[in-house]
Amino acid sequence: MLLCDWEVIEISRNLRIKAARAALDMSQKALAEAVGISRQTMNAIEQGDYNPTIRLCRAICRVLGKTLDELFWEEDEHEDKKQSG
Amino acid sequence: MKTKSNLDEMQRGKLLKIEEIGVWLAFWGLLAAVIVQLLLKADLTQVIGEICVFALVSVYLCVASIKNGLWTASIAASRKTNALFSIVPAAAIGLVSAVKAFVISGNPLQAALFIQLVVSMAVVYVACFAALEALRLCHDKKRRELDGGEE
Repeated sequence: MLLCDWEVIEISRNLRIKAARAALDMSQKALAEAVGISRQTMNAIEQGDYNPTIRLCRAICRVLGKTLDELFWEEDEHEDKKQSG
Repeated sequence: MKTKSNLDEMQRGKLLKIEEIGVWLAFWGLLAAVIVQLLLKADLTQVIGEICVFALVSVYLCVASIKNGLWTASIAASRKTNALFSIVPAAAIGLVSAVKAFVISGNPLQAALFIQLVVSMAVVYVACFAALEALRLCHDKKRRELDGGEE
């Protein structure tokens, strides 16, 4: 179903990184430079097109002053939806 | 001295994927080039370079995979699959030999030639099956070794 697919796509996008970045008034480019990756990779992470390694997740969390749970944890409900979708 | 990489982890992953496709293109392209040259009546000495490179790449891929306890991503390592997939090189050898003998060289259909073809296919089948089984046994041993380490 279209609505269901749209929901799955929205969930897979990491809007929490974007929100945390906006709170610090930080551009995607600035965050990418701070963690030592390209803007292309940062964009792919935010869009949900690339799953970063735990090392990169920690680097992003450190720069944004957030915990792994706050930025990368997905609720079980979302996981279930992804698996069934 | 460790040199600094210009690529981040995603870019490295993409580059590895590109290189992987490149390796397989070169691998199958080399095999196709050898077959075409043999079909065009090239002497074995003319394709010895290509065959050596092909053999070297094949040995490297096998040894490196087995050392890391890896088989293929989609096919399970078993006697049944080895028996099944050994048919592919045997059939390929049969086909290439048949085309070379009957179509390109224009030999008439003779029982002796046909028997020679079947025997060569059988030899290739047995050799491939034996090689795959030997690799599978090494793989299983390595797998047990890697999975059996202390926690």
